[in-house]
Amino acid sequence: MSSIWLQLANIMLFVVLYCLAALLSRLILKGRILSDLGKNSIFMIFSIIWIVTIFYLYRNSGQGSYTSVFSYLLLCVCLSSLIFISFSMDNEMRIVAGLDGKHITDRDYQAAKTLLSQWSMFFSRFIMLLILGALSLLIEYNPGEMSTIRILDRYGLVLLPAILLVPGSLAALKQPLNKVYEQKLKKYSFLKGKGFTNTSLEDRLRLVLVEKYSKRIGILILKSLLKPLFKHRIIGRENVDAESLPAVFVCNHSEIYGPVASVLNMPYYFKPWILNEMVDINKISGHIQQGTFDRQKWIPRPIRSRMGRFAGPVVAWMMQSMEPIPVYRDNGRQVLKAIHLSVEALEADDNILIFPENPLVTDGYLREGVGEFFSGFVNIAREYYKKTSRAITFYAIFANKNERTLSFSKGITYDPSKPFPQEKKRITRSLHEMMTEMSKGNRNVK
Amino acid sequence: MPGLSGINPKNNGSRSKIAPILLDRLANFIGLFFSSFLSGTLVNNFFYGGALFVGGQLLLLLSGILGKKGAGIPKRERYRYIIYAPVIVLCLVVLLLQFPVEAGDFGFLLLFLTMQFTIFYLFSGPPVALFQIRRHERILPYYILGLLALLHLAWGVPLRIKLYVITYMAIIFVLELFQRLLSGGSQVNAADFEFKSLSGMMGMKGNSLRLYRVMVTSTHITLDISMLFWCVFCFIIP
Repeated sequence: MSSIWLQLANIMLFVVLYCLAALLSRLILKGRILSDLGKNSIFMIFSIIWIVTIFYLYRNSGQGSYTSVFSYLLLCVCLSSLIFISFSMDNEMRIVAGLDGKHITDRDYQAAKTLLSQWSMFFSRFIMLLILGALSLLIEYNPGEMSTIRILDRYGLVLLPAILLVPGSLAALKQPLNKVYEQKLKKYSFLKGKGFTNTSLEDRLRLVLVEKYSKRIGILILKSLLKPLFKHRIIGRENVDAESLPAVFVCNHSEIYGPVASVLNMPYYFKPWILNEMVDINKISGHIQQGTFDRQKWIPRPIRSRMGRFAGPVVAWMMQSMEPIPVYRDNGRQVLKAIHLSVEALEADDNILIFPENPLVTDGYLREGVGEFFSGFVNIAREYYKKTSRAITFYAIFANKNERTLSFSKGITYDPSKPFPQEKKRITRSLHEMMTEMSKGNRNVK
Repeated sequence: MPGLSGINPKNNGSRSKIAPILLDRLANFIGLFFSSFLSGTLVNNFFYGGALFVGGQLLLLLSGILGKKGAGIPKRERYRYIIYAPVIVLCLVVLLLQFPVEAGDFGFLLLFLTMQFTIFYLFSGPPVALFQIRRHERILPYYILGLLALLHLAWGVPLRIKLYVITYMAIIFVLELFQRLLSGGSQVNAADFEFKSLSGMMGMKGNSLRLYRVMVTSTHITLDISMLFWCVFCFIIP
């Protein structure tokens, strides 16, 4: 047994580490890199660090090195960070509680939170009582059982907390309150404080944060896996005025390359316009068979002819996961619906991503360069202005396959004082010109 | 980008909430640490003191929730605790009756633990503070028990144990003092909450809120258990 003073020194070290960790975690959480992630993501990161560190301690227990002290410090940082994060999420959760339609005061919320904390404290101590009680009796009646207890200790230190953290980590993974919705909540709260109402934003928040909503975890994992393979350098980000978002982004198609590169590398949250045939599970197989696989002559015909049927459901799932705005080419009423949904999305603070190239003119999307544009999407600007009295800005994006870049042009803002047909032409032509310029490598497109 | 400004306690005004809780948890861990160590020194069993300490904390929590102090807590919430109460009492009874009392200074260990509960009760840690109604006549037995333990400490134990206990008391005193200073000494009573709104709040099934509750509960339980493990088992890690 160690001397009493050594144990006291241990405690003092523990207290110092704890205080140091609290300070460090505050500094870390204020950091710029973490600011770009949502609180929920940070929660997951610290949970993972915590599990890894405790696993490291398990593997290296008893070696008494500086790394052990560092590991304890890391554990303490994770502990205080997770507590800081869970407390800071309180602000958002209070607003979410208000969205549920019940009148809940801050004190009610605080009481519920305290009950929650009390329950977790109670449950953890209950488990500890059972474990410690059993161990103390085991030692008392079988003094030679220390080796068993050491094994229990080492496994207990790792396994039990790790198992107990799993539900929390899974909940964090499923938690719909990501960075985007944090900002939406902040805006909603700000507007509400000023006495304004934004029904679209409120409806969206209620739909995602209050009502039953399943976060598309599969697509997030898929995007994370694909992103390193399609890593693109962003050019001209300074051209986008982040303060004036939401906006409409218009991107080249370049067969399938433009959509894939932009979806994986866009630095802003968006809702894409996707052709209805790509979203509808009953239509997609035939559509991609005809539009994509039948054109791949290098694939043997027996395989090629069946690819649409197999790939269809997967592609439809991916498309639906992006929560797109479905677009119909041949149905005027449905086109208006797409415009209406886009305006609602813009009101709810979402950006819109459109691929306006017309494949009918060039018999399919061009592999290089920029094809002709449809111009109907400009109607979004008019309808948005009618509803909000705000002029929306359009930005052209070009995904360059050869240089692996995603370039952003300067914005073109809708001018409601001019006749709409004229504006429609101006905006479509300017966006096309800028995109063509970017395709030629001119990065300073104005 | 606004980012995590909310996490900065200065911005959201949550410093007053976080710091006392962190300090209180630290005080609990230190209490467990000292109980385990003293148990190892006095009765040659590290786990025994830890088990009694944890059991005592559970009793304090239960008394706060199931007693009159917890009258503001919704019934459904209270029933959850009632299921566990017999198991806790049974565990403590088994521990107290089955332990060989002739082993070491068993009496002092019990007194030390009693003194700790006195301290925790008097300083009103969060487990009992929320729904607590302070009355001097209720605190009196705790004062007497604490005094007994102090008297025993003054005359009945070796010098190194005295130093040890005094150090512990000093640390706990400083921590609890800081905790009270940071929380502004404010206590929230059951009467401040309306039963209906609190009940409605607990029953809310908001998607994000429900997941948040799982996140918070799971994290608190996990962190508590790992820290408690560390506090107790650090004595036997070679």
